[in-house]
Amino acid sequence: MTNPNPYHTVLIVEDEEDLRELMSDALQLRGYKVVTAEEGTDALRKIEDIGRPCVILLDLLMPGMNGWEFFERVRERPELESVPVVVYSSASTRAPAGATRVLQKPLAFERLVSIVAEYCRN
Amino acid sequence: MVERAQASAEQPPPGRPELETAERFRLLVESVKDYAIFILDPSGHVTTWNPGAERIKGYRANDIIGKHFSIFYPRGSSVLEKCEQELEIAARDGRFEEEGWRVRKDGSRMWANVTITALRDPSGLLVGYAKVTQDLTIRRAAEEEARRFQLLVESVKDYAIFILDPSGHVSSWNAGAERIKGYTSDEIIGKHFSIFYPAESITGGRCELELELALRDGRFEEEGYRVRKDGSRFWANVTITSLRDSGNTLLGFAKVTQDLTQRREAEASRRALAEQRAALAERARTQEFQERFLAILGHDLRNPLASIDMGIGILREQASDESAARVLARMQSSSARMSRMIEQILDLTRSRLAGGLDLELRAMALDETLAKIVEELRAAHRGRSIDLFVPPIGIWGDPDRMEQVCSNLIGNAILHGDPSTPVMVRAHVDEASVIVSIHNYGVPIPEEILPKLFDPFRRGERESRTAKTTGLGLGLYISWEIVRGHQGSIDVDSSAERGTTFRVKLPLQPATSR
Repeated sequence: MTNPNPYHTVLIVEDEEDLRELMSDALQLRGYKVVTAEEGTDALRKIEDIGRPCVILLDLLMPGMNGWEFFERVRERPELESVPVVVYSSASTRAPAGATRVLQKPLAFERLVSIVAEYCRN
Repeated sequence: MVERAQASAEQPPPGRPELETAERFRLLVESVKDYAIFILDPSGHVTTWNPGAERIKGYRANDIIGKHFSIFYPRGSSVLEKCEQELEIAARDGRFEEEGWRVRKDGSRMWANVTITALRDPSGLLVGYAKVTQDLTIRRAAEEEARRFQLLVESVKDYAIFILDPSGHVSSWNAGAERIKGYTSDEIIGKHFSIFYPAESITGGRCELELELALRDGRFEEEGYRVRKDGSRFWANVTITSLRDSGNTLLGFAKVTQDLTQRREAEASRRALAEQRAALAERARTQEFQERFLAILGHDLRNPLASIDMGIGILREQASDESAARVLARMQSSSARMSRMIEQILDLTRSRLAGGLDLELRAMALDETLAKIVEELRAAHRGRSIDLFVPPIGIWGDPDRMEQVCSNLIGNAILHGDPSTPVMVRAHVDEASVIVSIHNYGVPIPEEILPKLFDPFRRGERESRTAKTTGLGLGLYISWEIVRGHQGSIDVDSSAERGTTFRVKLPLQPATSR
């Protein structure tokens, strides 16, 4: 809470509950603030509360608003235009153009936290 | 004259045999209904009339006796002349006969056979003419009908219509028969109809059987192969009908043959089309299944694995005692193996079922790919020596997939090679190709395994190298598929003396790269 960087919240958008909660646990273990969403619409709502996340970890294949559409919506908004979006998906080859980074599932814990560390301060 | 004739008819003097004969003859003539029989006087006027004449010409005796016989002729400018001529001929030759049109009382025409016979008395004096007329209208109509029918049959081109005599020899032939079978009527009339059958039908007694069936049932029909004059076969519909006269005597057989080759071909192509459609539908179903299968492999199986990895990571972070850390390390390596196997199964499925691996070809530096992989493997296998001799080489390829191939082949060389000798990685350009060779010393690949080395799920490798292999036996198969997708090839040479060398040959600029 003493962190002067206003952008220190990681937004995880992932429909599979086990993975979503474990990613959240892993990042919280390393001291990050984490907000999770089940799909795009849920994520857009949560962005309203947190303002600007330091990074968005985005799954693509999700029920409701999928990752591709969510990515479009985020990029349409000027205040979110420059937020790094890291696609973390089993369909990584079909990631939207313009994604900051594309990671193929599964990914080891260390790798995930080291990537998040590049964008966020804990 | 009329009076005299009637008087003699009505009152025959009794007791005179010649008169009795005349009377009998008169009665006979009077009773004849099928012929008009009457007498003309020398000038051509009717003097007698019988019931046949009344029936055929429509006049009663009272109406006609005394009238000139030209009344029976169709009207025209030269009727009298013609009548005159006929009587002259009869007088001169004794007899005149013709067939021609005559007219009935009601004006209708009839086709008649007419005989005019000159009647002379014993002194030779012409006393008149006997005229016998037969109405042939019906017979003529029947004959015309038959002629028309014959013309019709002869002119039909789409059917071979011909007649066989009772012994099966051809006795008539139409245009259709000539067209379909190729014989002219001169060539075929008199020949036995077995000439139209394929050899196997003749020896099998087929022809005789067909005639027997037509005899028994009146009609025989079948579809089968027949042979043309030129020896070619055609698919025919054949009908054989027995022909009998009113007394049920067999006259022969009518045979109608239709060439169904085109219909049969149309049916065949229709069938082929239906099969094609069914195959397409089946392919669509299979494709849907494959896509679902790929989605399960790619997405549904990998998500839980990601959770497991993440969970292991969290626990390792927190594990304080060494045995827990060891267990977690094992779990992590198993999870990584599982992940690799899913990757391989996905590649296998794509290459085998889904139309091939997706390759994103672009200009790439093969030497840099090799250097990167060698560096990674050196880091992972400290204490193993890998020698790399590679000049700068640009190819058209998929960088990720080429990394996969290099990693697989060099990784195998490290895994299976003699640890005391270095693995050698070389590359050179040979004309339009790049050749990368990866060599190791050590136990050679068993000879019986070499031919199926690149097959998926190689039992050979799995049995003989179990201790060293952690995968599904798909690595080489996938490398092969990737290289093949680059229009390249892989070959292998392995012996105890020379060691084992895998050679990857890739085109510098594959034809289909753009």
